[in-house]
Amino acid sequence: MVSDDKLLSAFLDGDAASFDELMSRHEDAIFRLCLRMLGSREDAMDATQDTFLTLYRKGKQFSGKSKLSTWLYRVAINTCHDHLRRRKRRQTVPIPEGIDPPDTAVQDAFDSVEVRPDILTALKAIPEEFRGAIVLIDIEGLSLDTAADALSVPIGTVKSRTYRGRRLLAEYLGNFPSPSEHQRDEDHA
Amino acid sequence: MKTMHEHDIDLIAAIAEQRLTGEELIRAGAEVSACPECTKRLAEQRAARAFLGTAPDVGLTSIERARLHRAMRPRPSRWYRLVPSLAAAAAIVVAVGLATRNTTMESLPTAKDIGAPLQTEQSQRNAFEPSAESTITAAASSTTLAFAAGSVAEDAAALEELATIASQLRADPPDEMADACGTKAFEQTSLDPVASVDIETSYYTVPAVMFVYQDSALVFDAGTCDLLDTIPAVEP
Repeated sequence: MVSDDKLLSAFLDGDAASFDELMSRHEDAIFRLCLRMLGSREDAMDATQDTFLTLYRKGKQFSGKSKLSTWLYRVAINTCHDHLRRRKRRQTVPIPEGIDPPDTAVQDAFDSVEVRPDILTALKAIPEEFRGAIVLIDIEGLSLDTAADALSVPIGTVKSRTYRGRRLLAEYLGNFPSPSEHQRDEDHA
Repeated sequence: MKTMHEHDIDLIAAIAEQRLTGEELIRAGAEVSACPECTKRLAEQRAARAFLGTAPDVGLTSIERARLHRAMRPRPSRWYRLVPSLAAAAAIVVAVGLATRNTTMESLPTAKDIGAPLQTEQSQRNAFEPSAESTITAAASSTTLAFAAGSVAEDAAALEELATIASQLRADPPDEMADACGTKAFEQTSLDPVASVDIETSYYTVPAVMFVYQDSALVFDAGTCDLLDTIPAVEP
């Protein structure tokens, strides 16, 4: 298989098909990352397009020091941060930050539908700097150094962000009964 | 009974991520077991990882894939955007005439003075020169591909023109904010800008975005969010 670097060189020499091939190789991974960062397919599509637009325009500035996929992750993460920042600015009703204690009244209604949040909902509860780290490490399976490169931060920062992100996620999940607890409660009712 | 220390965080994460084996794992496990808080934190880390491990392997649908490829297909000097509503964003066009290029702004410090990256080759100026018209468009409008890369800090005329644009935006900021590099700009300044716009100018071969503040303006590469230039405010 032709390497990403060779495809990029061919594209920079004018071969448009090589760009299509690069897109086909990486578009699912970039879209998946954007979806988990942004929580909506439409926003993820937009961010994915922006990421490949950057590759099209800035491909010649790719130094080759890291893998192209890592460079694309970095561009995608930056693009997602911009989307999230823009979204916050457009919000007119402030949403309280942090993790609230369980609200039993709401919980009863929630239990009747579902006992555990889906991944996207849970990720939205985590601040974006931690979310990026746990998505890259725990879902995408990147190594610490590759994630550090993609996030443009030192490895120590990635470690700290993943640790804190998981703690917040565990606390958030702690607000929801596990499926077994839910079943046990129903049995006792 | 042992209490939790900062270095235990590394151990806990390493165990949760299954990065340790053999003796290392046994030693770390013993250390964590001796500390009740560490044990609790390890359980949290494992629970979170287990939950994240259930993430489905999502990807683009065939329709989304086709849309993406269609959107990325270049037309002469233009790109499609995926979101139709963006096209509704009104374009603010500020035309800056040739006249502004004939004056100089020697009083302005260059990017070199303030540590911004410098363009080393003026030849990076775009192939469409000598067009001197610059346009600013609101956040979502289309962009052309005719730009020069890197800073224009050594080009006094460019700096003057950019300072003029910034002044105009300060006086009459558009409603829309630019899409790109907001986080980066905030990291640099900790300020909310008066205005931020995508700029299309013959001075840059890359899409650029300008953040305008009361006493300066920053220009970033819209793709990488690298700082290209800092433009001090001038009297209108």
